[in-house]
Amino acid sequence: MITASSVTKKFGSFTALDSLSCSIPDGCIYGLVGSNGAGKSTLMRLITGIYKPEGGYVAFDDQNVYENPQVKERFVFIPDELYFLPQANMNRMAKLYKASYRKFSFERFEELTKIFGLDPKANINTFSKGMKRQAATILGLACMSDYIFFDETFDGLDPIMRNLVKKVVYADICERNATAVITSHSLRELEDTCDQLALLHKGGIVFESDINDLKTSLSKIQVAFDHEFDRTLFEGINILEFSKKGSVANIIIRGDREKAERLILEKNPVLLEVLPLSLEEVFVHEMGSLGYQFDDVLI
Amino acid sequence: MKNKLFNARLYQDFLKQLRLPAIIFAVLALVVSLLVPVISFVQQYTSGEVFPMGMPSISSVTPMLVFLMFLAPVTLVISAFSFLNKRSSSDYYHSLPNTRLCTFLSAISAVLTWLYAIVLATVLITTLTYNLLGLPMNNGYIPYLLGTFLSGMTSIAGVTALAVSITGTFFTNIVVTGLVMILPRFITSLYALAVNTIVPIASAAEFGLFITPDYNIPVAMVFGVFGGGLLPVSRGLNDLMTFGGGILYTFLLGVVLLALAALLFCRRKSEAAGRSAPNRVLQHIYRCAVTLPIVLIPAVMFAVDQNKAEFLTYNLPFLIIFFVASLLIYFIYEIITTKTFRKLWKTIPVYLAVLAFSGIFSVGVVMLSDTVLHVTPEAEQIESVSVHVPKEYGRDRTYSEILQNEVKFEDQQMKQLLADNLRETVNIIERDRNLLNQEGNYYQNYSLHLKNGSTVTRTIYMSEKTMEQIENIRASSEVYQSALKKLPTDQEISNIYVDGVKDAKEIWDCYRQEFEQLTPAQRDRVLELENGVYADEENPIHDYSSIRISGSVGMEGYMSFYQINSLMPKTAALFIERINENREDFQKQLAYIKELDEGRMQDEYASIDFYAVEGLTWNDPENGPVDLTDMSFSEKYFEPDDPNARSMIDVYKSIIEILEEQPLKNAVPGESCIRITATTMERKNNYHSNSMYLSLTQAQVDGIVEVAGDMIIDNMTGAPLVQERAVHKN
Repeated sequence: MITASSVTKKFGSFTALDSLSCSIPDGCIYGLVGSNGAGKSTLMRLITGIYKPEGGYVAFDDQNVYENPQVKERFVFIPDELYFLPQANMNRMAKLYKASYRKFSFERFEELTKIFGLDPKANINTFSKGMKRQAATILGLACMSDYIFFDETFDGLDPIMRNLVKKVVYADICERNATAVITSHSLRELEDTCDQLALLHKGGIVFESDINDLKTSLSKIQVAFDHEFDRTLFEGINILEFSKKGSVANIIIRGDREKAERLILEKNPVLLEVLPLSLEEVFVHEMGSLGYQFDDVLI
Repeated sequence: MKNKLFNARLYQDFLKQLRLPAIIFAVLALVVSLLVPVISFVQQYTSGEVFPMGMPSISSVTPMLVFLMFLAPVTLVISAFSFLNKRSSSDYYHSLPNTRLCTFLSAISAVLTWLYAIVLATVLITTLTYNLLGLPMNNGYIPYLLGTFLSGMTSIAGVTALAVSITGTFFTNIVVTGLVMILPRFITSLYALAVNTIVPIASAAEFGLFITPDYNIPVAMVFGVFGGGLLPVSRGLNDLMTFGGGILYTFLLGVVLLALAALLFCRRKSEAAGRSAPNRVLQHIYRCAVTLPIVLIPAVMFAVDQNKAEFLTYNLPFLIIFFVASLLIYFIYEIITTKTFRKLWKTIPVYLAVLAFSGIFSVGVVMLSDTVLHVTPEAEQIESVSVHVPKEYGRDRTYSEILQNEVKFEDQQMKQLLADNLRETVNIIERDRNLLNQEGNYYQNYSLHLKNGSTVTRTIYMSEKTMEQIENIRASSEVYQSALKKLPTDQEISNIYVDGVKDAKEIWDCYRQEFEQLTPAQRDRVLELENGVYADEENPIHDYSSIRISGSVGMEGYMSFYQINSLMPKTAALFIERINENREDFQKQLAYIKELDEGRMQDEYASIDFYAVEGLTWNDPENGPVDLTDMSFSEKYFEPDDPNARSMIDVYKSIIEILEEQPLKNAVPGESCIRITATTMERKNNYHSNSMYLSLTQAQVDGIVEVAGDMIIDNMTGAPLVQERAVHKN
């Protein structure tokens, strides 16, 4: 388990992270979402031991990560701004990785280069941005680490390649019970990828939850009656939002969906439909209950 | 421990990364170093032009390394640590499972591996080439070449590693490297120069190794090139490269700098990448440091000027230029490093601090100089005095000069004379230090060892009478006289050289044994030149050659020359015997020259030259005997219509015939002696040169003058012995 405990990071007079605490359990795909400048990359760099926190600590299974090669060998970091040796090809970079990661597997490396269709002898400078991300992902995955950190890695990939990368990452995670931590500024990007999600805002974690719990905590019901009605009709149901257009109302409720459905059915609606809620909508309402305006957070 | 201190694979990877620039440097160093011997060899081999090679100086053996000593470590260190200058690469390396110390040591080890390989390969291959081509080479140079360049490169690598650890852009890498390398020594040397100017009688020896730049060999080389004579560097390039104390100090300094660089690297934050300085405070410091030298120069000039009001009046435009230049550099540095104009105004208060520092420095120099000047101990405060022979630029002190420095005189009169004259010297300086060099002022250098344990070293001005009194006291000191007459011990000698002799030690051992048997007065005479006394013109002594001894007394290097002449007849005879062992080769060369004709001279070479060492006279039919001592033979160019014109080969042949009238006889020291050198280069064969010290009959001497008197030159006047040869006169 990765534990960040009251971590503070400052750059000069600017506080990027302020007493942030979180736990990332093993074997999950953990998503970190937040707007630009929220502190996602800073947190990643603290977790991976690149930065030293001004306060607090980051530990892997209770072992401090900073300046600890034994811990650092257990993870690989694929950053947003990629780095390759000048004029290097993938084979050359593989040797550099091998120099530091004992478990680096050339077999896995070759296998992945074939899957992605990249030429390991070509100069990486000749690759497109997306291909470079693929190259970095291949090199990272070939390290066979317990933890893999992707800092906005998928953001530059086309949809087909993104799916391919996700599949490969899933396979690795499932096979080795690895843990992946992915940052993005796109909720939609993380929605169908992650198990856990955390929202960063102004250097702190605002919201953290299991995605399934998130999605099932709220429900959206579309209902219509042959008579005039308003919100008061639905007493006994925990309504977060009620909007009516004509004779059709959309209600977002928290709590047991089936119980709510039964209660509504007793009132003989002419239309009763349960609609899927997007993660964005879930976030809006969850954070609204915390006192945040969602637009303020993610724009 | 794995990946905590050193990662062998990461080290190998850095070796690979640095391969290209390292190989380029190695090739450059080798090619340039091999140019001289190869060209010389090819020239001698293929053309009639012969440029006989003398022993190369140590600095000319691997000349490119002098330049690469600076360029290679700076380039390789900055290349290896270039990842620190960009966030993406810095984050990448810091994310790897290595400690920061491990990353640093792996990278710097790769750098040092390449640097040391370049030095070793260049030095060893070059000296080997000289030896294989049969060209003169002193193999004793090898340890000094290795020591100089290995230590120099280590210290420059340390400086650069320190700089990259505390900066985050390529521009500031270079700037701070230069600052760390030069600025401390610049400031301390400026201080020493200033104090020495204000107090010209003070000795640089008092400033010690931390002020005198000689001990830091790369810095001394820089100061020697750009400030030699102006800044207190007392050694020329060749001397620096054989200065053992400097080699050791430079290497240790390099180790310390590398250790400091490691410490700072470990403390460095990855987020400093791409920024000119890790924080605002360091940014201010770098900017001030860049500006400081420009501001200090006029401050020091002001401090040393005797008439400060006049200085300000006459130099105002010059001061304004300096002020404006410093301000420009100050702001330009800030603009380049921060890429913004907006906050320039905020840096102005810090510039004022630079000005304030230079003012304080200037005041400090004056105050310190005043303190130094007014150190005028009373005779009662002086425990003893010793002669001080100061180091001069480009010259090691001699052995006896070093020993003289160690002899302590306790004579009360001497102490009184020196104390009184020192006080008077200070009075003169206070009135006007330019008065020191007035006619009638003599000076000597002394160290006054005080009873409180300190030592004051001064140049003390005095009258001729006082100087004679002091000389008499010195002459009466047995300890001092014996120091003047002492020869170096085996432990103090590192190199013995006698030109043309393979076993120089044999000559030296003979010299030493013979010297032991001399009377004190004879020893005086023998060592006159070594002790800086010129030969007596009324009783001139003519040298056959000299024994060059170099070594060290403690950490102090010396070089002394002991003359081989008729005052040491056994040594001279042994020297002549050894030189003349090449009799057979010499005679073969003479025979070869005799067979030459003009046609073959197109692509072969021959010459004979001689030097009259002593005891030779020519019986001039008109003017009687003429002393030929110190005259030498010089080839002459004839105008086409000169009736005296003749080919040199004919002249040589005539001389050879005269020599062959008698069997070649070794010169006897104290009798007549002529040194004859035969030089030939046969087609496709090596260059040969052999000398012999011979005794000629009067008839032979007269015969040679008859044949080539117009080519015999008096070395003192430059005039030929005869204007026209006797043969053609009639």
